[in-house]
Amino acid sequence: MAEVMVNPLREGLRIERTPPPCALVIFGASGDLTRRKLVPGLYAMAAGGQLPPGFTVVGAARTEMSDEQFRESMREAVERHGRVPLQAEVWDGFAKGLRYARVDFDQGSGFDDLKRVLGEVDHERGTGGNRVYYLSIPPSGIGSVARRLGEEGMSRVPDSDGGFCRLVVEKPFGRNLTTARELSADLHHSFAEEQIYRIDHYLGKETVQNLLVFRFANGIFEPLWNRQYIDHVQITVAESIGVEGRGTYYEESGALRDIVQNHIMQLVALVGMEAPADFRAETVRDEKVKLLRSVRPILEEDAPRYTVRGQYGPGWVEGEQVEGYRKEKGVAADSLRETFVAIRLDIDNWRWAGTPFYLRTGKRLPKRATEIAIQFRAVPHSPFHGHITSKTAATARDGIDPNLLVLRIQPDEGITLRFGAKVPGQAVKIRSVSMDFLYGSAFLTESPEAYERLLLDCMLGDATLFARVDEVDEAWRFCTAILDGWRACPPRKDEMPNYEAGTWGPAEAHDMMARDGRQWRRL
Amino acid sequence: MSPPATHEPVVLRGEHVSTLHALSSELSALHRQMLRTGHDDVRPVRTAVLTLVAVCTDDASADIAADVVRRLASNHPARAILVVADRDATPDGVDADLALECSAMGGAEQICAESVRLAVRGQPALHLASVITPLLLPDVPVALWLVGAPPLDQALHGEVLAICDRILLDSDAHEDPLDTLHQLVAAHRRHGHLPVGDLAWERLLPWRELLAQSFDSRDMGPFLRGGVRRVEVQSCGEHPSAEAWLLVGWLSSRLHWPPRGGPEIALTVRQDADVEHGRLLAVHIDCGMDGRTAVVTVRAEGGTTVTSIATAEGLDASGTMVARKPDVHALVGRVLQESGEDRIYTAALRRAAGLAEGRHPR
Repeated sequence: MAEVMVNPLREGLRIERTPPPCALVIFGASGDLTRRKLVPGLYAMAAGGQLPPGFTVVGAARTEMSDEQFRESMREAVERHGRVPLQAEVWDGFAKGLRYARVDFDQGSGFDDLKRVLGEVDHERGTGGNRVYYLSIPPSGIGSVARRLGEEGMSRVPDSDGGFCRLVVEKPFGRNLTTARELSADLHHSFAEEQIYRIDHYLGKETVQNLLVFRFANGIFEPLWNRQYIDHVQITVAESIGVEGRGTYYEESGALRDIVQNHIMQLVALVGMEAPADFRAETVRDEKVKLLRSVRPILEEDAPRYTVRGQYGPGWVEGEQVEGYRKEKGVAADSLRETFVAIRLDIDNWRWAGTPFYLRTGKRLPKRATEIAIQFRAVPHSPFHGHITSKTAATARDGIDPNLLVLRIQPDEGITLRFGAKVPGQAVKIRSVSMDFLYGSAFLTESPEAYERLLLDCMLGDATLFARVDEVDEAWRFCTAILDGWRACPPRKDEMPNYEAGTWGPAEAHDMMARDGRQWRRL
Repeated sequence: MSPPATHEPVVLRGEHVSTLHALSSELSALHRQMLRTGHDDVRPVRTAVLTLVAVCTDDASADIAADVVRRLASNHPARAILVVADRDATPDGVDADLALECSAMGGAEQICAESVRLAVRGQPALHLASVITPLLLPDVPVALWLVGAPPLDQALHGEVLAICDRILLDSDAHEDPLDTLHQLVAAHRRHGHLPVGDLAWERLLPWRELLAQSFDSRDMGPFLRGGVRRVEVQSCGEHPSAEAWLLVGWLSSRLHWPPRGGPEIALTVRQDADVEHGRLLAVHIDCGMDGRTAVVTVRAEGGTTVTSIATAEGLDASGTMVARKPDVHALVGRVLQESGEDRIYTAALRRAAGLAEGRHPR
């Protein structure tokens, strides 16, 4: 990284880089994300010695608050939500680097005060003008805050060697291709693309990063990773929870915008991309974009065939009786918003032509699970006809289950390979067995929280795990076409809800697979 | 044995055997027995990612090693060979006791770790490699752990280095840590490489990280290029510990200080009833360059480690991190994650021995 000078003492250490001192300005500092994830994550990093002395957090929000009140509020947040228990001595050191400035994003006031606080921090804490602005605010305010930072001269990169000024933006990155491009234009008004870090916490998960290592650091899988050997890919992001009080947001968003456009499309890109020449941010992101550009758009008239929308009704989940989506707070009584979506996605390139990716995500499904399953083709001919003891897949040839490689992202991070084995005994009997790799138990080191990893990467200037503008555009190109198709063919009010909470979505999702002679995995 | 009602560890003990030949068949028998006794919802998984040979000075240190091996099993499932060698015992011979312990991993799987405890008496104790080699698992790394302070001569022998991927020891465990450092340097000279995982070096890791971090900023970084004037490393005890020597060796080698005429180096000691003998208490680095000065201090303070940086220009930054007490299990686990020679360690070791030689000619 050009901006991090070479420190000869760093070589051989667990973390070969730590960021230079900087001020992290959190816009929306009184919000939930700051309290639940950001500040507890930063505290854990401080307790683990990953933050440099002088590192400072400046909270910025509409609420009137003193530095002391902000510290007290953050202390309570760390005690409540932190993965690392609060220790008084560590907290005292961390709290010295907590400042607060009142900023009204709507009125555009308070930026002078923020500038003054940052000037003091530079002098007292040695942050040298280095900034990370984290916009944890409603989407409607993102463009204007970014513009205002530019107008105030606060988006300038410090002249000194290695100085930086970066902007972190949370999803949603727009509501469709048009609004995403409008948002990008707003951001680019004040910040260059290389200053912008679009965060998707899924990419901070250890198993997602391991996907690239698994594919490109093992010689045995890559030769099989194509249409010739893979029958299809299934990606499932299942949640057992409902909208958890975010009904108003969800009414605007829905499952397609909330999960598919960002998390799932990132997983599609990582599973499908070609091998990058190196692991630099731009090289990896170039390959992801190339893959996303190869995704075949679903035409308006094809939407009913290749996509399924669902909405949950009342039911039982994990032993608890739950209400239907339409009864959730902030949700219209006749809402048609999708809480489930299943999609058949085709990739038009040499590697994947004819090998579909089936995507599904939903709320109030029977369990929480995020998995990528690579279903290999069945053997071309089986000499073992009549010797099978178990059969789980419809695609089985002569009853032998095809090999299956499952990459589990949560909750039990790991990898499973299913293969056929002879049952011990005189007769030739074949049964499927699983070989398991459990991520958590194979390594002594505890995985960092996704937010911690991503915040550190941002401070270090490593954008590999952040979405670039063209990635966002390409994902929206695919999802906007689906939204257009849905708009042309809206469901009738009595067609929703169409799945019971605690089930794997509407019957149409299963029909979609059955039409192709396949079936969803039972998770 | 009745099926386990819960996922408590299950331990099967094998027959006592007096020949190495009988060992492997006894181990296989234990695994078969474990599968037969398994509960319906528990799957014993036979796995090993390394052979861990622990050479112990006596039964008490073998018990400590057995406990560490047990705690490491879920992360480093291994065939553990615990050797208690007594060169003076009679008659010559080898006795072996086997155990297979399966511990729940939280789900339906149980990881099963093999443990072989060998009592080696008389002449065979002088030829441990011949005792251990037949018991090594094929195709997986071999780690040799010198538990406590056994003599280093056999472990650093070429024959042993040829079969071991890593040798774990604690250079602070021996009475004269400087002598240990010199022996290690001599072994490196003899063999050209030294795949040692030194627990004293592992204990220094947080100190090295905090010192490195203190010089990451563009204000402080330039001091590393000729701007360090004085270094003081303070350890607990009556003499500077191996940790203290290794830390100055590390600074000196990484920053290419000349053997003579470099920054002033002071190794001081202090007694502290709350701190284990040999552990570091503080590191002070005074810097001065182009009219600018700075002081970096890292010090142990109760359960934390405090780093502070002060410059004449008014910067006064500090950070406090949790200082986790490094227990043997965690240190060994960390060393087992690495393989081969740690060249940063070797350079620090050689430089530390060189610095000591200058002060205490041998």
